[in-house]
Amino acid sequence: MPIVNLWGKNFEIDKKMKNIYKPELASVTKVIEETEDIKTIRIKHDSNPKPGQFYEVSVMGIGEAPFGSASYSSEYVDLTIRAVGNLTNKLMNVKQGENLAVRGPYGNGFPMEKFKGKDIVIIGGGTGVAPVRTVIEYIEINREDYGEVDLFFGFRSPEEFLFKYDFDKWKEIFKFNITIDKPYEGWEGNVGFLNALLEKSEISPENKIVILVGPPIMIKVTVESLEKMGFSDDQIYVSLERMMQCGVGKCGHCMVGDKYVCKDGPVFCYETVKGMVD
Amino acid sequence: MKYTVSKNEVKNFLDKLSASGNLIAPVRENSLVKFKKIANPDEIEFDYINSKYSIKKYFLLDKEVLFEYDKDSIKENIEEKQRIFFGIRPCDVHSLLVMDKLLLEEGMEDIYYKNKRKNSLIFALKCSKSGENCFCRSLGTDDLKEGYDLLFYDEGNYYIVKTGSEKGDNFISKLEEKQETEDEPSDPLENQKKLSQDQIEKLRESFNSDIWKKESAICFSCAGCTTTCPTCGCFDVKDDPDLDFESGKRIRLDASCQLKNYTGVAGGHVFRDERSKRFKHRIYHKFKYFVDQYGSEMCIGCGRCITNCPANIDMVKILNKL
Repeated sequence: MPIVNLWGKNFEIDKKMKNIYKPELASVTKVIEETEDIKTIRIKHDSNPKPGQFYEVSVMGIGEAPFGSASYSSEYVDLTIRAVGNLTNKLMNVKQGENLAVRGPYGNGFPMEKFKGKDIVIIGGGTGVAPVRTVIEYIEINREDYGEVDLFFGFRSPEEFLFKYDFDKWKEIFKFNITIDKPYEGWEGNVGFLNALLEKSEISPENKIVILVGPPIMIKVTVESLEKMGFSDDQIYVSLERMMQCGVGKCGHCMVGDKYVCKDGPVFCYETVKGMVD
Repeated sequence: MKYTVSKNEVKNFLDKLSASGNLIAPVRENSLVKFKKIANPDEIEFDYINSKYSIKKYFLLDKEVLFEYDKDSIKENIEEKQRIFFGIRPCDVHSLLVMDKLLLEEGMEDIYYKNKRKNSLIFALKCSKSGENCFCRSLGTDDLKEGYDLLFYDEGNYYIVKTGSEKGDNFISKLEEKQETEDEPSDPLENQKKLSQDQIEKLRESFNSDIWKKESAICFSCAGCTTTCPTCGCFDVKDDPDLDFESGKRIRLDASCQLKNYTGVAGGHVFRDERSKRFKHRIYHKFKYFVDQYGSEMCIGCGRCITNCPANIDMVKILNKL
């Protein structure tokens, strides 16, 4: 009885199926030195991410990590990266013409469709300015869909500014506000934390959506200020950071409550997030 | 379809399966029962509660190569051999159905897991008695409606065999001594731990209870529960470079939510830094989060986390205290 042959035609290997863990090579077309330890690496990529989505970027031999897209384009993706660990330090050495292994885009992104017809307040602190730049570039292209746009950027010092080369353009199109943490020689602009600048602006919450990205402490104090100014939690959208490995909701690391930050986020309405506790 | 098959005929059947080199079944080694490739069906252990480790390790490897890379290319090697599993307990078959929900989610399928699932036949064996930590009855995982190719019920002198797939039908058609039957198999499982749905529901109101701090005070965070749990499938993705540092492998390794670095991010912040938070997260994932995400409990009532806990922490007892 040739029992194993019974299997015969049923035995198959699905080689055509998409492998969610396998990155593809993408060529680096430009490297911009933003600050002493931050670079923007532009890769050729036609994946056309939604504002707020992210990519898993590999350095073979070290591993991979998630980075938010800092651009809105159908031809390229800007990855703005600070040297903080092994992988990011290695990424600082990447040169134009070399290849990076990349997967994505992943995550939900900001629901820009839902924001149509609203005034948008965009608040970014430090490297948090990178993911909100996708929103800014999206609005630049779809300007007529949105009302007034206020930008609020906070950096430690002028040396830490990201996307300086975009500032003039943004000042023309939007209301541009920027502040640094401490006084700095030669700086005549705002000094102090973002939330103080925000409160000073006295913008009204009427018909507004707030997009808020930055370090956890900044999010906390800024939300407090926004609430003081009359904003409700369902007007505020934040992008969360968590330990991620797979980026596609399998490995488990980024779970907070019943949400996967990689798959259900990283963008959440603050109303949802505030109930998400470890 | 249901058949009665003599024990002798089943032995012959297993004889032929083991000759194919594809049979994996429980064996007893140094008093531990584990699943192993079988060369001779006499090796198979029939009298056991359940294996120390579940068959999860055959579907989601402890260490699995995702692809190999060198300077200018990435090569995957997705080849899985056909395997026949005999003797998987119904609860553990349920664990595969649970993992399917996560890893075979449409459009986001895990190709490595999928190929292993697709090329495996499941010949399940219903339990004859309960172990001291079993609570499958409470979760409805003591029997099977799906997920098997053949399902064997030990009726003393003979087996009742149910077929659950076309492949199962093909196999059974080659058995000479068999008889179709309408008899219901006996249901011998008694004296189990009990966990009611009402009790599980209480988790929804207990997130801020001080019970988590109290009960986790004796936990070692050793990851014994997650390692032996048949539905704990979390993993890390790491690179394993060759010495030339230009080529190597990307691998995944099993990870545990009970270990502190599980939620650590760049810069050093750890989100679930307290043991009680990690302890609570696992229980909530099993009984609430997965229910909200995929519509069923992530626990299959095998009791391995209780049996293997060096601090004798009993999840069922804790849930019953809520």
